[in-house]
Amino acid sequence: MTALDISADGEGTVRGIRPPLHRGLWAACLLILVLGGSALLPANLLEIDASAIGRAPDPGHPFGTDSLGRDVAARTLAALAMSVKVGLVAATASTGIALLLSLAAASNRVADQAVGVLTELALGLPHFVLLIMIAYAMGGGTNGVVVAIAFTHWPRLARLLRHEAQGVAASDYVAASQALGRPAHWIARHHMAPHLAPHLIAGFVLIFPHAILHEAGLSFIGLGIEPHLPSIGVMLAESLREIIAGRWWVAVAPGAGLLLVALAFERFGEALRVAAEPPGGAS
Amino acid sequence: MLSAERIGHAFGGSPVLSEASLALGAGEIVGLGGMSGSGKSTLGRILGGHLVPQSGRVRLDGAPLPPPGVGRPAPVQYAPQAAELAVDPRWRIGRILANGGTPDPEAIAALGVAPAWTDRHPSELSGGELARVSLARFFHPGLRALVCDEITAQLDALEQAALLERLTGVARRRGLALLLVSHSAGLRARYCDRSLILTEGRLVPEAMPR
Repeated sequence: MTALDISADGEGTVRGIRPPLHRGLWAACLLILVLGGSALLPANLLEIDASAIGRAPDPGHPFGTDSLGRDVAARTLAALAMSVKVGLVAATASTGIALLLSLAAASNRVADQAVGVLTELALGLPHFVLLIMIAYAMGGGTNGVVVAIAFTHWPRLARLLRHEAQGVAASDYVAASQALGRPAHWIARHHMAPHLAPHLIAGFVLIFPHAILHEAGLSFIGLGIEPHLPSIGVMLAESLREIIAGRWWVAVAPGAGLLLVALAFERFGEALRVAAEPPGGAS
Repeated sequence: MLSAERIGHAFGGSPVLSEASLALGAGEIVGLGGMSGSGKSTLGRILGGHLVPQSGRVRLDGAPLPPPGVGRPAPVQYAPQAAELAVDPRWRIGRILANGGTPDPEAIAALGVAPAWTDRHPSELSGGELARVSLARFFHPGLRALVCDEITAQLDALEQAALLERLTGVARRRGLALLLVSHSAGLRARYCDRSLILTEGRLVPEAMPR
């Protein structure tokens, strides 16, 4: 089903996209599978095995082994778990930055101008170049990846939150609530928060797959997760050499796994974004 | 008595209101006309406390009005033009009606707000129904004057008549001062005791057709 399909559900509301619960269940199942699977993984499956170098897929190794005899399926699961953890931390940090900046923007005019300029500036810079620069400056590694992703993924969400907050603050219904005696903290709780919270949650879920993809990208070019740790980017980088040697299967599992996790969360985030609109459509 | 004395206001250097003065007695229904952009809504917002005038003052019985957001509903309320923008789209009707405290059952009944709407969202009501909800929430016990800014502009003739009959009826019963902002001279003549025209930033009396 694409976003263009329009179907009417039982209550007479028109929706172009599946409810987020459905997609959320898919994403949650995938998350549990990846994190639970990697935790239960026997350690010897990740070890180098000189007797099983470069094996094609067979019942013992469903996705084959790499040039060091390591099981590709097990390594992919461990790598995805690593990616998911890095993605969760980085997406949380990025969402936090966006929230802090938009709250600062809402507090006064000077801060609003400053946040506006900073956001446009960050959006104007090439995304991946900035990511590489920060990761390089941090000396690479897992921490470098987390910091680089956190500092490059906030601008779109910050711009959306700032715009939403401005719209609510200038609305007639906020003016009416004020005239009916409601103080500023009440307005923040009852008008502002209910409008911003769904965008914040959807923003986080949409940043998450980007964080995973960019973690893989940085690891691929050697600026990401340390090479001895299982990582999708490192596996894909190594698989380039393996493919030349005819071992195509080394690339299949990490590529498909990355695609599956990123896509599941992208679709969940998109459904959440649509559901974040107030009843009856955009405000 | 609600009075505005020599109100002046400008947006970006271009003056909209200059020395606009008016006085509304209790129970009086006054029309306000004028060209688009003549400052009718600006005057309405100033009277309702949504906007602080750059010069002049608004008084109720000789005393200045309290600032908005102080815990008590203001005695003068401004009902904005588009009802669908004047209510929070995420709130249910019951909550919107109770925003100023316990909703006034007389006004709710007089304006024809149905109890069945309580659990609905604004998007589930028609324009006319929402206009009545938007108005009804302002009828708190301390309400003295109400400024209605083109509240019937998006309604058809029958709905306009129904809403204005109900509104002017409840205003007269409660002794409210009512300022009806409207482009329509016919509508002002039909429902108002007298009318004012806003032109070049000032208010002048409109000759009422007999």
